[in-house]
Amino acid sequence: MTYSHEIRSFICSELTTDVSADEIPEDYDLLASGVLDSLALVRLIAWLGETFSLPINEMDLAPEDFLSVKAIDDFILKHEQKAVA
Amino acid sequence: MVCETLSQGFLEEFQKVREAVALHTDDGEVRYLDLLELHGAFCHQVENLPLPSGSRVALFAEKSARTLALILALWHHGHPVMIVPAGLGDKACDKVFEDAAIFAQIGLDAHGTIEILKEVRGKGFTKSTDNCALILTTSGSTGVPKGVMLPANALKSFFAWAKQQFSLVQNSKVFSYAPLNFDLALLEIWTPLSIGACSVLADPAKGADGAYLRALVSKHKPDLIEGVPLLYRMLAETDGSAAFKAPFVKNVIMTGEKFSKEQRLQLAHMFPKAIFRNVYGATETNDSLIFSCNAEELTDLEVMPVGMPLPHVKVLVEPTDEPEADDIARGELLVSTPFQATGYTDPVKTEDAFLTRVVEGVAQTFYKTGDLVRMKKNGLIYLEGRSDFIVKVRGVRTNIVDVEIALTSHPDVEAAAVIPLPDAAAGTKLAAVVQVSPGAKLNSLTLRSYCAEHIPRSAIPSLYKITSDPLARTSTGKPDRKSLAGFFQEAGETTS
Repeated sequence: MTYSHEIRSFICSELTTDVSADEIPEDYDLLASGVLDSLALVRLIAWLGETFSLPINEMDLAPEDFLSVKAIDDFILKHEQKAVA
Repeated sequence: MVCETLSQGFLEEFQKVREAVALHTDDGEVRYLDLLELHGAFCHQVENLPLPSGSRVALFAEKSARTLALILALWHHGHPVMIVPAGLGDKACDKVFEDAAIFAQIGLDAHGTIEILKEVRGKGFTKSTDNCALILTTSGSTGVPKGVMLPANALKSFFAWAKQQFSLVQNSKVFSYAPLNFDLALLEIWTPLSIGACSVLADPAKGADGAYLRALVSKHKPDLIEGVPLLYRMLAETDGSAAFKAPFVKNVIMTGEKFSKEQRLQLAHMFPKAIFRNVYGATETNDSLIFSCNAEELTDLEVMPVGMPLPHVKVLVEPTDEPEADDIARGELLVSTPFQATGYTDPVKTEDAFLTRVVEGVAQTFYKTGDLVRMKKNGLIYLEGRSDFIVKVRGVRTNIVDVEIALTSHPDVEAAAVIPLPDAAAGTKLAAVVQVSPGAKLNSLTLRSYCAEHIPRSAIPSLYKITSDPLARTSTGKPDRKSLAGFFQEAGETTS
């Protein structure tokens, strides 16, 4: 299972509206490129919590978790399983 | 009487060198005797025009022998001349003419006959009490150009300085890239004419044609070239053949904008034997500061200073920021030059920009440049940017011109303009309008990654408009940021 498509859709509808979802490479550095600045990061985290029912407030979050679409996807998969368990 | 003496000075010089070439144009060479003949014919016509004595006249900038001769004929009859950028719209013309107290707008028909295109009778047109000889325009923040009134003695002082500074003699050739309405034309066209030397006129309509410009430089071998980064970029483009080189150029003047290190390397390759001059000035003051170096120093410098004041130029730095360790002062630059304007045609704007300051017990008029500078302990002045181009993005001081230079350095980017937009969260956010080469596959992601390699993260624009159309520009050729901001207003935060 992967949420790559949902993550890309969120990014291109909220943050980089000139590109389509499939144009965002899996490993594109969202932090260095400024796509995820501190404000966008807050929005992304809120969206992740809501969409994937993740207990965001109880988690330790590190910037590397949001480095790329791939990293965010891994983050969801890891915590989703924990949330289910 | 002042315009008359200005014209007289030119004519006396022309008489001495009648057979010499005054201008190289795309239509062939123009000798001084041709200019004298044209001048005589125009004088005859001007005498018979219904112009009140000393009234001001406007004409569109056409870079040609006949327009130059016409201006001299108008001066000869005591009429100050306003040169309007070609293509300036009717409404903007009306406003500028009204402010400038223009009596009439004139033009030349295909047979070289003077026509009165419009009798304006701008307010106070009957007054001819000041010594204004030439009115140039500079882009205003509202889109309507400001008229800058240059007195005859300021022009004469400038010609004398330029002749000496650049060792111009009768057989010198000066390359003229700028349109006639630009202040740069004072050095590129009027200075050589004032000493019987030669100006090589590049047609402004072909100003973006690198092959044309290279052929013109190669053919006429000018001693002096003056240009903004755009000119040198055009010259440096390779058209499949070997890199362009012009070892005969003795003086290369860099002006208008900051030159990146990459651009300076290009210059050093193109003009291996030249002395490079970074010249700082505005239409209001003409050249004010200069920094000279050779090709080796040009490429070694990390940052190029704008140098030191020219003789008889006074500078003040009004503090806006805390100086750093090796600074004497850091703030907005005010200058007073022997070449400066008496003011704008709109007295309200004059009051805002031309300020009286007492220096060494003497009250003098200084022009508030709007540029932020650092003056270092060694006396050199460094330009930091336009005061209105330095913004704070999330509290970080950011110069939008540096962002534009970074974007433009991408091989697929033709031009870029960065616009600061107010933002509730960040204070200011940056939006970029980027003109890409035809067929280039760039999107905001590739541009962001590219920026990330060259500028701090806070300076990476958050909004992008990517287009293959040329950017809207003001009458003086600078990006029209006000109009470009429209891309981001209608669509909210959308980019496309």
